[in-house]
Amino acid sequence: MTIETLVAGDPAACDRSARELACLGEATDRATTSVARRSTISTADFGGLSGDSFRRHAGSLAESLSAESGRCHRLARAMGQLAHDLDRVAGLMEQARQTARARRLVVEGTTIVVPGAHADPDQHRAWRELRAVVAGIRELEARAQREWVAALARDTGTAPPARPAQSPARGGLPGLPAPANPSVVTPGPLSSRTPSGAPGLTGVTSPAGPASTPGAETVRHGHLTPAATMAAEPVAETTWAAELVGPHAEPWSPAGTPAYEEMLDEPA
Amino acid sequence: MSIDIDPPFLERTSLSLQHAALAVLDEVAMHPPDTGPSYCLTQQGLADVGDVATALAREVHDVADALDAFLAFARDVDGDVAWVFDVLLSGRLS
Repeated sequence: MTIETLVAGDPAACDRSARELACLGEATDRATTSVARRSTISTADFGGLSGDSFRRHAGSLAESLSAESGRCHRLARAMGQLAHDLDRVAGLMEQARQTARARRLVVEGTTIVVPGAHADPDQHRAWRELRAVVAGIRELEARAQREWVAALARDTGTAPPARPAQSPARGGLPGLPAPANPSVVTPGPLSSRTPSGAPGLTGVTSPAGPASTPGAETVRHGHLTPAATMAAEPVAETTWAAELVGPHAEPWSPAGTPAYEEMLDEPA
Repeated sequence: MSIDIDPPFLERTSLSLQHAALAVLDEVAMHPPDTGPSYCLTQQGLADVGDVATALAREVHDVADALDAFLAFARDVDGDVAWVFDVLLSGRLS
């Protein structure tokens, strides 16, 4: 098991794209002004049916250009924010790797390798802390992507296809928000989704329910398993983790993050 | 029957519209950025922005062309546009 700190996306390219969008917005602004001014030329300068047609068409074009210009500027701002957020996330991941090296963990490229069986407790502890911190950074990354996708959806109507969300804690890329799909069957015990009397499926018993079921929660805490004991230990805060608190991030703590919850579920 | 027009003013109008249209077309080409997991959606969204901006710029250019065509007839009749030409050409400007 490893901690992947690679951040997908190129902040510099996003920043350049934001500037290109802003330039397109400015060019469209100038076109709007030019066309709008011509849409009010007097009948003395351009009379007759042709003049009326021209004024009408120019007025309608100016409105469309103005809407397009607004859209370009909004997308430019959203893209600029994405560039800034990706840059910040990449910086935090770099700090996580530096911290890992400083705490004697093996870092291969962008991957923090799990300590081996002969590693000392400090290394194991550092690895667990970093895992939770990286999960928090992944949440920032996922939030940045969600905000960008929402801006795209608002202004261009593009929407992501429905797909199961990936857990950032497992090293996957942050899942994009999947639109609500009422046809999707809510996960649950297999038997509850099997039509009664269906041939070949009668008597199929479901495995233990998801970890979030109330029963599983009670059993886990009642046992005081090594995992629960480990989870009960307070995770030491690193100084740089405070940077996670920014204008777009609420005060952050590993508790409640997917990685932390997984840590509760896994045996030590 | 004649209608009022100011040919030099309309010429300047046509030129100004053409410049505005070309300025937009110059900015339409954008480099596709690597935004990570939202890459495909971003390409789709930016393509839509580019398509709409291009269509609008071409429309502005078409209006300028129609105005030029109108002026070509107007010059022949020394500033007075015959009613029949006005009816025919108004369709191109609308």
